[in-house]
Amino acid sequence: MELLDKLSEETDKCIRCGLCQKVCPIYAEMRSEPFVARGKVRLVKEIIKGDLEISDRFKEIMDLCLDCGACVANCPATVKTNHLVLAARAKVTSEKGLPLIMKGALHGFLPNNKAQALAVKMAYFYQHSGLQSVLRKSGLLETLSKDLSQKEGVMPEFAPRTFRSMLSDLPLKKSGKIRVAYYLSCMTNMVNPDLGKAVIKTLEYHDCEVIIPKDVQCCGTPHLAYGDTQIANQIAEKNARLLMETGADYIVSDCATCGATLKKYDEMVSNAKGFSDKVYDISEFLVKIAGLRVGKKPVKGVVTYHDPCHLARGQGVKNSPRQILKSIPGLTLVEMEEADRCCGGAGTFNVMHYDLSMRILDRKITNIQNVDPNFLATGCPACTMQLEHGLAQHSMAVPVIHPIKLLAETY
Amino acid sequence: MLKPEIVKKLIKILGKENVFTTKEDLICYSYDSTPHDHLPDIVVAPANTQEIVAIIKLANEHNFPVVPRGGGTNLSGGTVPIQGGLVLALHRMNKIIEIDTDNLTATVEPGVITATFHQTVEKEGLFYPPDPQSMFMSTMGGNVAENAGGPRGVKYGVTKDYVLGVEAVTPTGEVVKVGGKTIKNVSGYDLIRLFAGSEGTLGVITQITLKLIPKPEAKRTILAIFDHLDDAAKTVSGIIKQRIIPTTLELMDQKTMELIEGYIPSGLPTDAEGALLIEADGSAIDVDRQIGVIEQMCKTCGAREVKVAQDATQEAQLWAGRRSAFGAMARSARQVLAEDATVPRSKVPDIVRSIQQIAAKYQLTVPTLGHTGDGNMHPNILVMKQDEEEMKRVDAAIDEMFKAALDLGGTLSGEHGIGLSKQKYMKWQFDKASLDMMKAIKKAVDPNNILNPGKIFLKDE
Ligand SMILES: Cc1cc2nc3c(=O)[nH]c(=O)nc-3n(C[C@H](O)[C@H](O)[C@H](O)COP(=O)(O)OP(=O)(O)OC[C@H]3O[C@@H](n4cnc5c(N)ncnc54)[C@H](O)[C@@H]3O)c2cc1C
Ligand code: SF4
Ligand code: SF4
Repeated sequence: MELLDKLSEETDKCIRCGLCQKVCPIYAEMRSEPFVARGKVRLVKEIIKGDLEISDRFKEIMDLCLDCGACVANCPATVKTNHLVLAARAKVTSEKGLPLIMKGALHGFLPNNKAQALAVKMAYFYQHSGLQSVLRKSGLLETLSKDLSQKEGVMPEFAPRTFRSMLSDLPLKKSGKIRVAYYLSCMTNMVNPDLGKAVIKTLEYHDCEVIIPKDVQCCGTPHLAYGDTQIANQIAEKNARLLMETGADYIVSDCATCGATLKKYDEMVSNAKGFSDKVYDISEFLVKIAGLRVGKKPVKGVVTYHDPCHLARGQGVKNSPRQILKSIPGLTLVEMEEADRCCGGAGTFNVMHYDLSMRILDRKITNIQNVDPNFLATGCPACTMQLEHGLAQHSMAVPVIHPIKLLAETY
Repeated sequence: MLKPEIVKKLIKILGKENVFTTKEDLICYSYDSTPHDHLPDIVVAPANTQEIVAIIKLANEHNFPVVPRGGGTNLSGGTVPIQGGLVLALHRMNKIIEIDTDNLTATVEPGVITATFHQTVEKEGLFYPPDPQSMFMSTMGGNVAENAGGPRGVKYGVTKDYVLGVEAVTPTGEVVKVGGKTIKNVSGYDLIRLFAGSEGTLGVITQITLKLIPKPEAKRTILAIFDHLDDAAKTVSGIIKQRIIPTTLELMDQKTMELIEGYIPSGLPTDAEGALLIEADGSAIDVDRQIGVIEQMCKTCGAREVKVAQDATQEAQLWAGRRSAFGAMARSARQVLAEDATVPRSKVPDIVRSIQQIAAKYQLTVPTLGHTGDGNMHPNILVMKQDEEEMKRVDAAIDEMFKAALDLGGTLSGEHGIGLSKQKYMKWQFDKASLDMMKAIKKAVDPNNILNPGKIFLKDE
């Protein structure tokens, strides 16, 4: 109850204006009051006051939130509904444990083949990223493990070698104007080592000395999402220590979600004082700190940019990636409508609530279709998986690519 | 609590998935945008008129209240089920049935979001002017039931001026269809006007036919700063004397500008008594002419500074302050009570001054915004502690503000309605005969007092 109690003030801030109705992607689909921020805030308030008890319906309502932060950004009183929801989930988990998720999982996606394809992909990712503890408790992985072997065809293209294992062979420059610790995200490590290489190349092009602590773990976001605060804090403590020990001036992440969570470490654990101020998203770092340098080789085509929630609102980074894309010779940035609206991926939300997630995604795909780009740029691996899934469902051959990979091609 | 047999019947009418009885669901339908709340016994989401008919017949049979609800954004307690009963959540009835480009009309279901309707008709080059500032959340049914207005009201009127036809389920469960697609219609009593502003007490509106107009080609904005409120008021009447009706004439008082500047600095002065944000629309050439006249008039009347937007970016800049006003207030208080007293246009400086005096008397912070063009003022009372002592001062201040508005020949509410919030003032504005006539109408159409009971009129009056 502690965590929730601290948030009592937060629930009092809501003036019930309803402005969150305008932006909540879940509300846009469900259209009923329990699913909009105003409703969720009120329910959490009643729990804190002791007038309501944790129930299946309460959990169901709290589960339907993307943590996209759109409501917070649009709220005149800046009520942090997403924090309230995460705290409520932690409370549910501490009271009821996780098994209920399994029910949702079983009902939500097992009867649905497309959902399964995505689930396998996500589960495989989670299993291999060392974060399976959460999902293991949920029973999701057990249920899927049989399918995993049968469904290899639909798994993401895992890299033959993880980025971590390549590190010893990678010659890193031993000096530079700025010392930067590069946080190795699970996705870069497992699926996209090329992105890791591009980040190093780009940072060194900007005269940075890159230091990569190998033993960092998953950033802890999934644990927070499922209310497993204890594990999340352990992780934060370890990662903060490893990254601080590098003595770097800045800590850079190429994953929107990891970056947003790293920036919260100082609120989570006591050994991270001053840590979060050093954390930058890679695009933000290049534009604001290093001073953006672009190479001469052109990348031809039209690109449109999808704002990851955890970058645009989670970290307030909207302009830097656009500035990078605009500065690439040969590339034209054409904005899609609602570029900063959530794609519906939201970690494993898409697996647990496949149909709802796909309805949210469809709106995004239509907006992309209207631009008809050669590239779709975005800086979040969870968005990338979700968007790739949506584009494939609509038979659109548009590569989803990190802005830094496009930038590195100009050198 | 409704008897299990009634719940069973409701499930039969609506299907299990559209009937909600968990405490969580009831809590979420116990409030609106005011501080009032009361739990309903059940919430249902009907799909069509027939289902509503069946629900209302059941309610008459078993004598439980029915409260229609759209976006739940009203500012008068209108959707709070104060006597329990059933909340009729109309979000599933959200189809735009037709846009008739020959007759320039549209027909919609009540759950359509106002802004969605705007966007849809504007794609056809058409225009639906009423623009309540809640348009992204409010529904067309809620707009008709509250007769919502907005900044554009000064030139284009309010919701009721655009309603040509209504289909509604009466409180006894009959379907009435009044009006149609014609602009002129004098057959029988004007029941459409009766539904406009009926606050969910006379019928559940299930279909609305609206008048559309061609979309104006261009619009431009001016911001004028005044050291003295009277000069701002003189400007407003000056402009209108030149036979120009701007689309909006928004006034911000000093307190409002102070709050905005403390939140998102937008270049507003904090030492001036007021600022006017004026927008004109029409054909491109005519807009330029209007803006020229308005600019001149602002200067003649003593504006200390006049800014004319030259392009869309500058226009957005001028509006930025006004747009963040609500956030600036919400952030600095525990609760914002958005009041709605309205006076004849010429009395705007008097009412603003009265509000300031009353605020000082009761030690309250009351930034005032207003649609000066039509005298519709929004004194926003910032409630800081919400304790008993403060609420007493707030109540006393509100009493005096309404007295002041009525003394100036004004009305209790320009656009937010009476609901629960302003019931006790009804007898200040209306004599007994007028009140009796209203109550007689309610009694005649709703003999069992089923639809949104306990609203508008006080029980014992
Ligand atoms: C931030 C903010 C800004 C606002 N700005 C304005 C403004 O500029 N101008 C303005 O006029 N108002 C404004 N309002 C008030 C409010 O938005 C309007 O009154 C709006 O019309 C309410 O619409 P709704 O769909 O939310 O109705 P609700 O709040 O759901 O209902 C309002 C009333 O209508 C009844 N009702 C709803 N639907 C039906 C139906 N289908 N049939 C019969 N009765 C029905 C309800 O019983 C209730 O009495 C504002 C509110 C907020 C929170
Ligand atoms: S926008 Fe913020 S203050 Fe308004 S209802 Fe939603 S959460 Fe509450
Ligand atoms: S965080 Fe996103 S999904 Fe969750 S309530 Fe806010 S807007 Fe809705």
